[in-house]
Formats: sequence, structure tokens, C-alpha cells
Amino acid sequence: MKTELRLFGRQIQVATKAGRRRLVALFYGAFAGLMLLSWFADATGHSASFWTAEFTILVSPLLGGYLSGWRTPFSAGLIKPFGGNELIRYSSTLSRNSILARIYPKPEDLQAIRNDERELNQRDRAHFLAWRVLSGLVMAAFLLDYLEGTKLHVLQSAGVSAHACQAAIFAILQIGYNLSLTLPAAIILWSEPDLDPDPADPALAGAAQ
Amino acid sequence: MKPATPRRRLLLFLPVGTRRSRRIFVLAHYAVAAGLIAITTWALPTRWSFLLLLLIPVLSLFFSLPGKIRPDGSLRSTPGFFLLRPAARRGTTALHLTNDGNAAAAIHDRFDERDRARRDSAHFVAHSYLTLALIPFLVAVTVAYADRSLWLFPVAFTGASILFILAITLPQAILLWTELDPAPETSATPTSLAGAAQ
Repeated sequence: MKTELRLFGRQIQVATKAGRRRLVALFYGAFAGLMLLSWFADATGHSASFWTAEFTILVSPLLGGYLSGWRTPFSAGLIKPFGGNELIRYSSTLSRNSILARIYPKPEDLQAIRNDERELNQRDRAHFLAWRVLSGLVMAAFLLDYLEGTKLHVLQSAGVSAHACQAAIFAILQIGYNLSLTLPAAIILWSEPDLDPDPADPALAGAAQ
Repeated sequence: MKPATPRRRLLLFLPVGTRRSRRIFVLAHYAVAAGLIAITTWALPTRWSFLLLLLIPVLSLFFSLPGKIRPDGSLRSTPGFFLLRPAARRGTTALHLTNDGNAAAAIHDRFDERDRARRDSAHFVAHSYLTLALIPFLVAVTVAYADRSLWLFPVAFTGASILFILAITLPQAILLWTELDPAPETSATPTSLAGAAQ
């Protein structure tokens, strides 16, 4: 895991647990705000779908994990790519040509994507925890879909309109899409203890002198 | 001394002691689930089709009961799925799978480091697949709600059913699919070994 985040030319130190937790809270706070605004502006939920996809693809690489890589701008992520070791395995078994050379990492990129045993355990543990949230969302969507789809009028008798139920399913899926790609990285960032700052950082080296 | 109860290697009357039989079990489960989904989708939106659809969660919940396979090939009781943990602790259906609900067995059943690593790894793989399945479903629902395409609503409903089954069963299915066959047991007991030494 990186100890600093480079954003628009600025370096933000995230070596402390509190700093990383602020970053995660800010990320999900911004996402929640964007979702609320989108739903208020457009009750059909299509704007929310659009902004969920945009936010997830454009902002999630900051956290790293799934939407992280070894090339700019995907190299900005704090967490190494979850599938980094698989990429190394694949690239070692394939012959190099001009197309594959663009897809797979070069030897000098390996340091940025290779996960050691501790990082693999962290990754798997985070997915175990994230699975509960994701499967809970999927089950909630199914339950609502089932209750709305039946002609038994269970929800209607409880005062919930069909449109509100469909909107709720839609919103759950949008949240699930974002969480499926970001939650494991967020769990790692949230739970990892304080780290030592990177000694190779020139700013720190200057301060030490 | 009470003789040890032989451990069961059957689940729903199907053998699960070997890797091959476990894989057949997984495939059979998903085949039955796919059949149920196909029938209900074809019969939508009649009332009985929704009642039939209730069988899917029941089937999947039953399938999610085995959470760990012991080194001797038998199944342990505690499921990996969080909703069923209280049921397993109370000693309901899940404990019948292993048939040894005493304190020593409870200690034996605890997850060791390897079990945890395999469980977490299975969840990593399952998470990736569920994410891949979620994206086309979200696209289908978005399109269906966009122009109120009536033909897409059954598709969205089928997608929800598939996602639901995956959410309940996928980690367990990956564990059952990938767990290796146990090492062959030696027939020698401590008593016979002591006798042989004398």
C-alpha cells in the first residue's frame, strides 16, 4: 500500500490510519451526495445511473484495487491491483508481441502490481467482509423485485407504490455496482494500521537533512 | 467406551466424499436452479410461477449449508454463509450433516488458518464473478426502466434470481469445486501400532 496520494500534482500523506479513514469517508460521502442529487434532479434514476458509472470509473482508481494498474492514471491507486499476480502469471506464459506488450506489464512494472503473501491475505479477507454487504444488497433487490412482481399486492397494501419499489431496486443496484468495485479496497484502507512514511520520498529526505 | 459414530459423507443422499462427486453435486444444484428459473420465467407472471420461484432460495439455502470439508472428506457443520450461523450454533439442520455434535467436535470444527485462507480466497473469486454478473443486470434494468420495455422486465427478474442464487451459494460452490481429495487414510490405529511395536 502506498503512503501518499498524488492528486493534481499535490502529494497527500495517507500513512496514518486516520488520514486513510478520512479519505474513505470523503469518497463515500461524495458518492452519497452525488446519488442524492441525481435522484432529486431526475426521479427516473437514469442520471443517477450515469453518474454512478462515471464516479466509479473516474474516482475509484484513487483507492486502487480493481480499477488500479501500472500505467497513468491508474497507477495513482493506494492499493495494488487485486489481480496483479495473475497478470504476472499470464504474461510469463505468453509470447511477447506488440499487442500483448501493451496489455501485460513489463518487467519494470512488476514491483507496482506484485502482491506478497500478506497483501494477498489482506485482499482475500477484505473480499470476505465485502461479500456480506454485496450479497445483502443483491438479496434485498431480489426480495423487492419478488414482492413487487407478485400479484399478491404485499407492498401495495403497505402503502408502497410500484414506482417507489422499482426506484428502490434501481438505487440498490447502483450502490451495489459502486460497492462491488470499491468496497474491498476501502476495507483495506480503513483497517490497515499506521504505516511508516516512504523513506524514498524526497520531501521527507529533505526534512531529515 | 462408546464407539465413535461414523461421519457421514452424504448430502441430500448424494455422496460428497470425493472431488468428482462434489463437482457433480455443484453442477446438479445449478442445473436444478437453472431449470426452476427457466420454468418460472416462461410462466411469468402467473401466481403459481412466483410460488415456484420460492423453491430457489430454499434450494440455495440448503445447498449453502456445508462450509468446510474435513481432511477425511466428511462435511463440517458451520456454513460459510453468515445468515445460517445462528442456525448451526443452535444445532438445527446443519449439524445433522456431520452427526457429531459434542464439545470435542465443536473444537475440531473451528476454522484453522488454512480454512480461513481458503474461505477468504473463495470469497475473492466469488466477488469477482458476482461483480461481473451485476454489471449486465444493471444495464438491463436501466434499459428496461428507460423505455418501459415490457419484454425486458422478465429478463430483469430472471437476472435478479440468478444474482440471488450466486449471492447465496457461490463461495460454497467454489470451495466444493476446488477442494482436493483427502489423502488416503492408513488403517493402522494407535492400539495396533503399539501392538506391532511390542
